[in-house]
Amino acid sequence: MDQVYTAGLYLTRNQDEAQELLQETFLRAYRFWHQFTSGTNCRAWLMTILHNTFKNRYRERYREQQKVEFDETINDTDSSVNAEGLPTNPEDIVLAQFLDTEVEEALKSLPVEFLEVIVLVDIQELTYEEAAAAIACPIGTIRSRLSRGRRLLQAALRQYAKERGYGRRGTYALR
Amino acid sequence: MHCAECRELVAAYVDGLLAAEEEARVGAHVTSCPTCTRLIERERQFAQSLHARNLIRPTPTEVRERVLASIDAQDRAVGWSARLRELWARPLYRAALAGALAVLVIGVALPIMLRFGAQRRNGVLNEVLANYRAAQTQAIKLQVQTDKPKVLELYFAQKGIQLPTRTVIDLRALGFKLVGGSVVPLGSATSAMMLYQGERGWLLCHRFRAADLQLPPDGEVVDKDTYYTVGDLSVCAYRDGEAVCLMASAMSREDLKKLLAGYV
Repeated sequence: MDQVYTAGLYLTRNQDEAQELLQETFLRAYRFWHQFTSGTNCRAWLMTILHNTFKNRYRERYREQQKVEFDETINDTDSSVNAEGLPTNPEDIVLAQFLDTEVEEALKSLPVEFLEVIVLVDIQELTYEEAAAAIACPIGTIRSRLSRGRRLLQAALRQYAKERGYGRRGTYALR
Repeated sequence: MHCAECRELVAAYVDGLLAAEEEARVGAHVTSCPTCTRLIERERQFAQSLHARNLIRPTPTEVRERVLASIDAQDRAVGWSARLRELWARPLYRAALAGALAVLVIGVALPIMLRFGAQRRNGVLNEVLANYRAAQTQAIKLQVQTDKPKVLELYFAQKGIQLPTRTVIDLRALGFKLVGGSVVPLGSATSAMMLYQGERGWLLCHRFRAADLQLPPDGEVVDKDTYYTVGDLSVCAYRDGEAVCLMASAMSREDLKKLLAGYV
């Protein structure tokens, strides 16, 4: 249940909506339990239900997030990381420097199409195939979204660090 | 391979999930591209850090309890209809349910449908049956109550019913005394309805003009008469030019045939 709740939190970016999404996902899972193929990954199956429920429930918002934020991120390049006050060498960015809540905030700032892939693969630890099934897209899309999503997450963390002045503290240590 | 393509594949590359051929292409590109080499190294470290991080949030206790309670509530509320839907989704149960449904259709629905079909086909005869029962139970009041055929004949004439031969039949010779009569609709026609009573029960007679009246084809033809069994009644129908006469009785068809033989 925690995994589903967490994924709901990231997708909705709202605690109340995450709770409703969790409830609806479990109700649907219970109702359609006979459709679950035993021996397969139950968490992946729940994630599929969660994503379908989310898309149905917040269809308009989902489209908006995809449309608006894709435009903003379409020019995702390495040059965006070289902003003033940040380490000039992007390799120095270290996740351990950030609190969990900060990573979560950075994640929630991502466009939903990249966010959902990171949540499924990097947080929920689904395989690419399971993630592709969960959001009904080709594996190639998972691969490219994951690549781009991870870079976007790093960029968001750098922006976060810049705003908090982490860059002036000096070295980012690896974990 | 260009840098743009390499950037698209970098996640799968560092996760070790590229196909051998693609992995080789990325590897070949990286050896000649310092930018992508740095990118891959950075991505590898970041992905490892991300995977090592536990970002799963515990579900609040009250939320967990609410979800479990809602499942219980659904379980109680959905009842048999949802369970039926659930069973329907399983091939084995679906076959069994389909079989049960087929038995239900063949055993119950079909006879009912056939019966309705027969009733529809009988058309006017069913109206005769209904009128017989209504008159027998006095559910409908006769417009004229008289045992004198001529009085009723006059009433029908006043109501505009004119047949090629006399409308009211005198059945006293057969042991049936006239009780009275009414003008009633029958099918698309206006009918003179007469009620008789005798030792052998009630006898209801309808006479009307209906040149194009279609009677069911499954009647038993005896000379110019056709006999039907409608419900618990026996009905004798005969045409007299444009006029039609329908006589209904609770007697058996054989008894009615004997009664009317040589009369109508």
